Amino acid sequence: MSRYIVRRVALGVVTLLLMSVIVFLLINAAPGGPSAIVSMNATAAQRAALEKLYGLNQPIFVRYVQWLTQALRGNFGISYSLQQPVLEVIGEYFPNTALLAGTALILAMLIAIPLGTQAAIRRKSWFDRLASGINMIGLSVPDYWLAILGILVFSAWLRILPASGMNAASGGGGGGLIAHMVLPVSVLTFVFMPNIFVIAKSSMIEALRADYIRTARGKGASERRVIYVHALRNAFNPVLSVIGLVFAVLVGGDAIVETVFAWPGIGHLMVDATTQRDYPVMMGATMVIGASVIFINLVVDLLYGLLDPRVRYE
Amino acid sequence: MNNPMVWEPLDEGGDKTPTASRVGRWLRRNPGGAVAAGVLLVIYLIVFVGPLIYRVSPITTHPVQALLPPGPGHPLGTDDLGRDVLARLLAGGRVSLIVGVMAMVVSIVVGVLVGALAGFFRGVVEMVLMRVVDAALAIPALILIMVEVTSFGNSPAIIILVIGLVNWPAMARVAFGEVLSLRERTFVEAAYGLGGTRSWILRRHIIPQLIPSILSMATLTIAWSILLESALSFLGLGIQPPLASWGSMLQNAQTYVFVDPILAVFPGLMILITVLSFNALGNALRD
Repeated sequence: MSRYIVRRVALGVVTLLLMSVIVFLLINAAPGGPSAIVSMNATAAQRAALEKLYGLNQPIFVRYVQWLTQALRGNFGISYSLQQPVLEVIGEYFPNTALLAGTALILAMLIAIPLGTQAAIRRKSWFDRLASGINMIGLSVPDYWLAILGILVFSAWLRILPASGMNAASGGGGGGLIAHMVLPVSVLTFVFMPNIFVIAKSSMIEALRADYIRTARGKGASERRVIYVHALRNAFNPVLSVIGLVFAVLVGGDAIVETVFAWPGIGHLMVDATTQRDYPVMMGATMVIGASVIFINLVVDLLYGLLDPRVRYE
Repeated sequence: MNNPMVWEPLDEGGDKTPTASRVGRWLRRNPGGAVAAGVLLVIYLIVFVGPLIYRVSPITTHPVQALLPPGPGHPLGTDDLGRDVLARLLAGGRVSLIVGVMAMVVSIVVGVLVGALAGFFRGVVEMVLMRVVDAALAIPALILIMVEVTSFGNSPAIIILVIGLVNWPAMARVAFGEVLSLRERTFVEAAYGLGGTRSWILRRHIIPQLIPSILSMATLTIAWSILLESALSFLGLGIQPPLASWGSMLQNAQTYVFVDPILAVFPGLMILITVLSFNALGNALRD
């Protein structure tokens, strides 16, 4: 088990390194990279000074190694636009994202798993059709449009929920943290649900077909016990692994919803950094987001074995 | 080997019904898929033929007529610069549908090639290619696209490439799984027995067998690509003005949500209906 953990962590580190190379090259080697922004409206001397200040006069490979050695010491550089260490900025924004996306993910699981279970038990019933239909819409609706409609109805017309920000202090107007969370969390929950629902339903259908279900029924277990004890426990693992897999997709939805609601999270930070071409922040935020995706997948893989004793790690 | 007729894969039972009546039978059996296909047909007609009938410019601005409600002259009203919303909806639809389909083509070509090669040759090829697929799946798609677009610009061609290249790993996974089971089948063995080379078997016997599952994946990928493009344009990083896109129309609408909420309605509905239809069609094709 511990050897397995070491190997998985090592694999994660390699993936992360690979990712840093890709993102660094994408940002720095492309025609629109940092050198382009530095050279705008500047004399030759100013440009040289700026390039030296930001270390852009070095070859790309040297710059990557410099970035990496600094990053390993926790120094991701200084944000161009905020004039603040990148890690400090990320440290400020990250907990807000964890709060928002974490709440939405937990809610989505709490709703989608029972819904998927029921839909599997009552296949082809009106309930199954309704739940599947709603999830189909959740899969197809643009999350930011849903967010705008939410603002339209609850902030512009009914005036019961704030349209943006995280609390009064961050420029969000009246209402506390909870009031500010209602709209973004609702939108995120709705768009997080479909993937979980589909897998919960199909793995439940699969589990209900298994031999041990027939055995359980045969020895006289109540239908309730058969479903919730025997089938659900076995159906849970695929659900867990899909959450790890779709996490990378959910991150995108989170970035957009944070932007629409001006939620001070890391997705919003990333979008702002991109539009302002704040390269150190882009690089740092991408790495932190990538690391979280890899970390979540690692945790999921380990939980997998914990929940299902049949899974053995060599 | 010059007589391909002899070695047509026989496993499928040789359905000799003409394509048209087979399509008709499929539509009768899948009412959901039939409705979705019908809706898509209507959307394509409206978006591509509509501008020939409704000849209002989507980019001419009339500051005096800004933010008009729907009414005579402007069936869906005007936006903040006085541009006709209906005309922009049609123009934006063209952009979204073209980007969605072209990006899907890019994903399929790359994904099927990588997946089929990995599944067919196994060994080192599989290990290298599938590790790359795993790493690519771990990078959040939208974040990667944002980085790429800032670096390479946001012309429609680059947006197509960037979205297509972000979606190929999922396609590769599907193709990989299929090829893995196909390569053990008897008709492949027979093709080897005939002295067929590996690349010939891959092209002539394996890839054609992938078409049904690729068709369904392709439809779902169009849906996802349209959503990605619209999200990118909504963030201001995708299709640039004066070119219209459903996503960038919504970016505009958000600014005026308290003043002119009707602006937010139609582009969002169009995205929802289009993406929903592609998803429904893709699901129907899979079952």
